[in-house]
Amino acid sequence: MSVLEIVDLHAVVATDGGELPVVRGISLSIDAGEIVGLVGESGSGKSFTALSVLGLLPDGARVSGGRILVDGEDLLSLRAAERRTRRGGTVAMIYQDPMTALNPLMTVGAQIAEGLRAHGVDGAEAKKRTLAAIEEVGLPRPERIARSYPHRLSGGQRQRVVIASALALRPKVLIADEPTTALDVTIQQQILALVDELRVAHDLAVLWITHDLGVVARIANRVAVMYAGRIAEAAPTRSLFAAPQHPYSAALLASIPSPTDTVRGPLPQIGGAPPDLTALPPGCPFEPRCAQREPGCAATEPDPVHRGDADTACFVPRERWTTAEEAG
Amino acid sequence: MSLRYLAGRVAGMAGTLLGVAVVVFVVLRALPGDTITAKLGTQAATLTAEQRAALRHFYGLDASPVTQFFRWFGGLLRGDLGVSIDTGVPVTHLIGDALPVTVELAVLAMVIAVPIGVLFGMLAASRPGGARDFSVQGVGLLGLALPEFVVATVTVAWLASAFAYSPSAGTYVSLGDSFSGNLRQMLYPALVLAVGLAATVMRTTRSAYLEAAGSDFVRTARGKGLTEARVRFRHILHNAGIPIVTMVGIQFGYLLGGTLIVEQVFALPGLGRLLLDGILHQDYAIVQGVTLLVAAAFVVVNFAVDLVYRLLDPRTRSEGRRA
Repeated sequence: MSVLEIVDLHAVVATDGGELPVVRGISLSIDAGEIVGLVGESGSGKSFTALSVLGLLPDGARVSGGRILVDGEDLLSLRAAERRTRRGGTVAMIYQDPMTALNPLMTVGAQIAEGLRAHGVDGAEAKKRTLAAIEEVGLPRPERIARSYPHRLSGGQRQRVVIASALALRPKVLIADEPTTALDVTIQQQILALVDELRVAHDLAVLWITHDLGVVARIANRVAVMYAGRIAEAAPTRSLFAAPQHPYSAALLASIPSPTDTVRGPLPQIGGAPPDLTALPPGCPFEPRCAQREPGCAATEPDPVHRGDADTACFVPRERWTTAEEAG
Repeated sequence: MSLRYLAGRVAGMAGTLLGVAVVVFVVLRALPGDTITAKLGTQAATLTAEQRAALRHFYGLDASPVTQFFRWFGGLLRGDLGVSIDTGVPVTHLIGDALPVTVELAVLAMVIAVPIGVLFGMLAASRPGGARDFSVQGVGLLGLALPEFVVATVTVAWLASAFAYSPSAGTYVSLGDSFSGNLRQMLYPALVLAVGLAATVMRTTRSAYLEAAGSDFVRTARGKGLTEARVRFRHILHNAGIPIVTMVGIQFGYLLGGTLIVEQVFALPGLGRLLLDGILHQDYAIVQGVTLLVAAAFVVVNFAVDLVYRLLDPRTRSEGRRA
């Protein structure tokens, strides 16, 4: 049963030259207790997708079409005041940089408690639940942490606080915007383990945004690879790593360095640059960089088709790929 | 706050004031002109050399500058700022009369200007580049560009024609004499002062607010489902507080230094006019006393601003261990 269901989501951002499509028809669903990794380069639209779900798109940007259902309720049809109560209440988010995600002038406890109070939890109860939330993310001496200001805490501790704050209201959906990118490798592992633990404990549906396929392999049940505002391929993590069905996924996988590589040549990279959103080609947006392109690819944009375990927006099935697993 | 910090600050403030005392003393002595001449005007020409010497001796002007300084400084430590040569009134009395006028004017102007400036600064920053931002900024620029003497004289002229109000006709009514009478005299000059102040505070608020609004923690706050009002005041404005408080502190210091033009136009006997009279008459004791007082006010306001920093921002507080 999917908790979060994104249906044909479109989002645009206003520029001097008119509205630019940033998200172009994304469909994605996440079940309770499932982690879906949303992978893509900068500018692929993954953060816009996440912020659309939360209703926090920056000024000048807006959702221009589609539906975002949480437990069957379309968030996009809600009035602003109702939408606000869903933020934190049913959909929560954790952020990339724990050093800047907390208000430096408020104690950690006050920041968690204000979220609870914004959803009608009274003072004494909010305090109790704040301490419980801090304890749940594995921080010792919750009273002391609650009284601390962010600058007294380490990066890992702060990220735990951000997670505690996000989960204090028991949301159904957690959006994780690269929450481990800014942390040391050892702390990354702890945070990954913590989120996984909390997912199991609370049956959370997690949308994990990242450009790090290693993290995806570690934590996600399924992966959606974004390119130029669309999903290029969505597949179970295992299948995607074993046999990618989209040349872009294959190229991303090929560019991961492996510690077992015996040959120390230069890392494979994807030639060219992501397409300019102001001038998208009529065909497949990846076509100019694609190693598997065929003459028809530049004519029309492919719709997703089911192939193997995956949904892939590509005309060329794996069998016809010329240089398997390689790109550029 | 530690006792050590306080002691350090007080010592620093005392040092600053001592420096100011010396500089003012030296600069005054270096000015051309002569106190006796300034006091007696045309009559000074009729003085014989002996009479002039006797007068100089009477006022202590014949002693060496170093002796004069220590005489003055010794009095200062006892709370005696000397006597006005021009009027014979102790300077402490003159300041005692003028200071409340200036302080009231400064406080009143601040009370009017700060909320207006902060509110409109927030309004302008909430949609940068929008029509509201544009109009608020335009009015603000006008407020900054209009010289005080223009605003003051135009206000007085308008008041005179509209209400037959004349500032110089009445004598000054203190707060103790009549609350409403005093307010009637002080409100308009305070409003005139508030024009430029509000504009300054608005511009500082706008830029500080914009910077704070772009912070990651603001997105976190919205992501928690907080109301927009709480996000704006508790998170953004609070974080924009330090530059605003700094600006308000500096402006308040200037105001305490006397608001010469406004006092002059509205005929208010404040510190600015006292200082001007002192300079015109080469009345050393007055100029030294008032300048020192103004410096002290600046130093105290600065200290107060630092204390407010510590209230606003925990990072400027104690050292101590991590949790």
